[in-house]
Amino acid sequence: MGPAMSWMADHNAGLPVASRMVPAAMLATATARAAVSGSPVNGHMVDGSFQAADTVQLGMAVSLRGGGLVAPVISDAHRLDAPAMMTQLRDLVSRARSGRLTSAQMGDPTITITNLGDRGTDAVFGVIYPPQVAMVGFGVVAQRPWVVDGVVAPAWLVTVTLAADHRASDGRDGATFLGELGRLLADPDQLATIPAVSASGPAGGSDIASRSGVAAGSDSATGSGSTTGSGSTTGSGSDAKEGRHGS
Amino acid sequence: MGHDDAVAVVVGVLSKVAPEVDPTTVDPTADLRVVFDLDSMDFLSLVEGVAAAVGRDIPESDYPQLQTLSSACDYLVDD
Repeated sequence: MGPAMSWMADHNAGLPVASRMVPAAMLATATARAAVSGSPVNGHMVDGSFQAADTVQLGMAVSLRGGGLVAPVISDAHRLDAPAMMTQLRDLVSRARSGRLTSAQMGDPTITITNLGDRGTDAVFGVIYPPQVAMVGFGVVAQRPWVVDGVVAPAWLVTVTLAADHRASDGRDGATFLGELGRLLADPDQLATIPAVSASGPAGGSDIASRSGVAAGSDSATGSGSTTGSGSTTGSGSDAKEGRHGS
Repeated sequence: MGHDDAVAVVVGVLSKVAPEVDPTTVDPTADLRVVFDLDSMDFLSLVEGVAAAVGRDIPESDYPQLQTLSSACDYLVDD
């Protein structure tokens, strides 16, 4: 994700600290855009069948000081550009930690991110929080050796995993989603622009009745560097898929 | 700014960002992100708080200097 990191460094250079971005905002923006692009990873299982959502209510796993976890929501995350996502993330984290989440932030996510990479973890294999059908895990964003044109060079990399419910999607859908996510991270100018409103989405969406955003702390993380393409089962009926996004 | 003032600034900001950790018990050479369990948002709050307290900008390229209490104080002390 070199282009995203370069874009962010340029963006931050002229700004006061309070307005600067962190990589999580780029990752969240790319996830929301990829989730709304058609792969069956965004929505809920309702009475045993998958109900796709046409908006992205993006859950963010936020650890609380002193223990515990909440997964509050960034509403209509697919309509945010990266700086706006950063503003939402800051608000979400500070409100979650101070126990002052808004009712919208306590809503029902359609897909959730766990970003344990923020604490140095190489890769995270998330566990889906039903009735959602997918959890996206981000490992640490770090410079690592990478081969470009036959030469080893330093590159900004992140290991992204997708835990997906096989009742809603199959492996190819997961690969499509991760591919789109990687493509977006390589195109930061697109992430920095508010996307055109699609014809399919009357505002607000048809989200299900509100439920507490508090999630049980069952995220699993692997501390070792993992190889691309290995699949591992994470909970019943779900697959983990992994993609590593370089350059 | 002298060394004691620099310590007071950093410890003061840390006690707001991570109130459950007693900053006076911390090894000055330990990684603040580990000891105070700071994620990237917390670290940004730390930078923001320190920048406001000392009244000067801390560019992103200087973030590594705030890795430990000791290095942060060295960075803030006037040379």
